[in-house]
Amino acid sequence: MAQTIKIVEDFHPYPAGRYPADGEGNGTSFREKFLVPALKEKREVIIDLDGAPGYPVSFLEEAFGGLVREGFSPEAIRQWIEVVAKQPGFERYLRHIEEHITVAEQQSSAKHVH
Amino acid sequence: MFTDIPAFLETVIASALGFFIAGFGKAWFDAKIKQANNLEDGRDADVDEIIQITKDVAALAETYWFSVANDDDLNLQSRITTKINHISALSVGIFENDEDALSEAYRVISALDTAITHGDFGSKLRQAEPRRLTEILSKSMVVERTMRTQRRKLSPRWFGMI
Repeated sequence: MAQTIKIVEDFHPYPAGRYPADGEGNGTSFREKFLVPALKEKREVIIDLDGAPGYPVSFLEEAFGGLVREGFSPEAIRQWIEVVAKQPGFERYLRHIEEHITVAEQQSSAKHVH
Repeated sequence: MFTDIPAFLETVIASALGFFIAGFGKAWFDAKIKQANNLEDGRDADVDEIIQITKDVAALAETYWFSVANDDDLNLQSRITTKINHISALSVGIFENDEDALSEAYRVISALDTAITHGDFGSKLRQAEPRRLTEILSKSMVVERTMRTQRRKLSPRWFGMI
């Protein structure tokens, strides 16, 4: 059974920032604490976005786009990580996350070409 | 006089019934019209609120990106993030029954969100980025324009339906 991680309860009530120097709720720490272990162990996790005041692009990009930069394939990310949000207006964050993964993959591919 | 009393009573009852039905129908119709008008007024008020919040967000973003990281960052970050999310939630309320309009609203809100909160937003080491302001103001105006346009296109909701 998939583990559900509610960001505001299991990580930080105010997710923001990219790096640990930016504060406790940063994207790198979230990625390393919850997403990377799940991918390495091939364990399904459900990330619940609801309850937060909002998610800055910098946090989401670092958390999810950062997975691609760490070497995880978009296919593996989509296979093992499910992101859910039911709060009004939060649906767009799901699109953001998908875009961050896609853009990070494109940038990664471009680097390999050059 | 009154030689055909049953027929007379029948006429009186039919008239009373007709009067009652017409009155009830008018009251019901008036109530529905009022309800629909209230919904339309509510939508207009929500759009006005979105536009006001969008202006607030742009002003907060200007303050934020005109200076390097400082003690007021957390305050500004929280207000910006929460307000953008509020714009998003209000849009759902207005366009929940119009998938295309909601999608368009999400697109322009996300563009504004990205303009403000991408890159070093939230970083304690961030530098001032006044060059962002043109993009932020441009995207905020697109949000305002799009909300007004999509609102105008929205069909009135009569009798609880679109």
